[in-house]
Amino acid sequence: MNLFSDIVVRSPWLYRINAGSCNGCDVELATTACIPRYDVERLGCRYCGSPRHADIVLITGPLTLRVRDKVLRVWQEIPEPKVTVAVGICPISGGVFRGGHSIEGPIDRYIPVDVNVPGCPPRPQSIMEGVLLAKKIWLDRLNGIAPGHKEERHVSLP
Amino acid sequence: MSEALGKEFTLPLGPMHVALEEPMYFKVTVEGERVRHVEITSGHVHRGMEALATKRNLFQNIVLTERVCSLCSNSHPLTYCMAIENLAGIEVPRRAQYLRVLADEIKRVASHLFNVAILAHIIGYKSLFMHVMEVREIMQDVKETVYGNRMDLAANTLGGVKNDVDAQLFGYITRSLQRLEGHMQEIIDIYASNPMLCSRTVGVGVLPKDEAIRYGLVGPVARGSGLAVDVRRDAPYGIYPELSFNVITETGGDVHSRAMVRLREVNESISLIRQIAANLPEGKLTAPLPVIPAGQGCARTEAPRGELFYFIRTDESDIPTRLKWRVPSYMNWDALEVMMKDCAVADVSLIVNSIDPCVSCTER
Amino acid sequence: MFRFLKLLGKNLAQGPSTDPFPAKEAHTPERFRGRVVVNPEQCVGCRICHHMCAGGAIRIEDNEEKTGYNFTVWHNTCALCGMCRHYCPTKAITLSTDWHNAHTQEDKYDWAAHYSIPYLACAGCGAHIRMLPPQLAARLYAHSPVDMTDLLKLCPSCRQLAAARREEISNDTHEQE
Repeated sequence: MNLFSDIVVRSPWLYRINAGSCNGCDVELATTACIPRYDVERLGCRYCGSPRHADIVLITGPLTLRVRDKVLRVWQEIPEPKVTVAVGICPISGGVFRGGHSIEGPIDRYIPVDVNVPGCPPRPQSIMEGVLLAKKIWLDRLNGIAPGHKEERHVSLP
Repeated sequence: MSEALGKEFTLPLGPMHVALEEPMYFKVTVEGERVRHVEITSGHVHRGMEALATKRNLFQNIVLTERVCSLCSNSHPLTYCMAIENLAGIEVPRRAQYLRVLADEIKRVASHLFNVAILAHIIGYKSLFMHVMEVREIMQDVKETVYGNRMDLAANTLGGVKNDVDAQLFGYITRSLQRLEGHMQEIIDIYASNPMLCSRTVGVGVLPKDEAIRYGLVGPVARGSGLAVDVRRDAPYGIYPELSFNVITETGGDVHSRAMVRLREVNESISLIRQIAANLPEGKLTAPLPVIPAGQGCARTEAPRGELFYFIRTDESDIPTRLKWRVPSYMNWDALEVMMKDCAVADVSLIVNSIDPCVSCTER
Repeated sequence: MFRFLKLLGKNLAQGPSTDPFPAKEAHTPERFRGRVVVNPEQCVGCRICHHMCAGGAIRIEDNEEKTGYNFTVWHNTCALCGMCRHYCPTKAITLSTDWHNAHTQEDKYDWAAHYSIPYLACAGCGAHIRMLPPQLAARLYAHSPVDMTDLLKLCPSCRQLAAARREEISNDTHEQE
């Protein structure tokens, strides 16, 4: 059984959450995932349409006030062990929107992020690098090498 | 089950939905397969940008407006800069004006191709989607090579442009256009005649011309309904009066016509870029900047989605007291009501995509 | 059917369109905006980049001993717009083509470039000044009759005194003639 799991590397599925982004990172994610030029399926990853099938979640956008609860709800629906990737500078730090009245980010205030891919937007190769890093963390978590999320950092929502 | 049939019920679509690029939330009231009523809940991408713009100085706002939306990310700073130039009476050098149009048309090609690619994606014609996206990569490479980023060009600044484009780069652009043009003919043929594509798009989401006028539509959506509006021709700015191009119209008013308008506009943009490459004058890239006086200025341009309007009010400081923009999707949004009337549920995302909605522009 | 075969042949001849990354290094254009790099030799601390930066990615502040200033670029806030590079009067800021930016959350707050740029103690009074970079001074004072090497090491008020002394000496020599 051990030999089997050594040979068969499992394939994470990707899911994308738009937390109020300007489309830049989303378009680049679509480009990375869907077209043969970048072909993220080479890495064993595949885009899926439902959060319940997802293993790696890519979040874009600065997390606006209006979308916050919905993002958190969708994120919670993703089964453990999940790996969260923040794509673009907005989810990481707020980017150029920092200080806006409806910006609730950076996203790691609410969600434990594992990998950051800064850029505005990052080029597809850079996103792939982030996915590779996330895949490694995900496999380590599956094999029990890396710890999962330390604690669930949710705010109590009204 | 049989009880449910024939009864109306409300189907929530979004805000996190696979077929929608951005968070949009529709409450679709359906009767069987037919849509009876659509309620749109908006505000998910509201980042408070108009308020942010009054906290940032005039230069920071160039970058901020570029991030309103990344698909028309050149039109926003361009129009913003034009509004300030109108306000302060800055004369932009001719070479800079040519380069501005160059950046704008490159973005238009990429934006239109992305929209028609997503159309194929929604229909489920995955190979066409991939093909169009691969063709779009030619333009993405041009953007990356000439401007240094695949989405946000950062070409404009107050009084001119930031990057020069030399003869060598123009050689590269022309070669890329040649490759693009070869593919474009093929793509247009597929979109015009493929039976699978036509059966899903022809006669879907029809918007008659009189409704287009009544709703004040702009851009490819209006032109798809036979309404020839184009700011580049109706209220010329920059060097557009010196360039020759056609205002593309189609008469069908359906999803298919709007896609065809976009595809044929790509060819117009290719010809515009060629004209720029041939006629580019020598000269400076930026005009010297005076102190921006207190006052009000406005500007309008033709973004890939239609007319874009900017208004700015300044006091004598370098922080604007008000910055307001009206985006094309704002006008086109309301017309969804007409287009979606009695359509099939499966066509909802198709029709939404056909107006090329830019939620992040509209909700800022 | 014929069209299909033609397309197949064309695509076979073209080879795969997939970018070799991550197996091989990807092609990066020369103008690619990857990461902000500062040349501390040329920075004069004028803060124009700080003024231009839309996200607030640039931080410039004196160090604790006030013997210099720290210049920090937070890559996780930088929108790579190139405004700082465009408006930098001494061309101290450039953008590298390095796009390898993915990092784990542990590194988030280390994902920045720190530069520490020293002040010079004024040769006259010892006050801290930022000396004009030599290359810049050479360009600025290319046609100046006065030798600037020593004057550049003085603070503005000491330089004023030096100028007054210079004037005095030249007046004296005039009177003697």
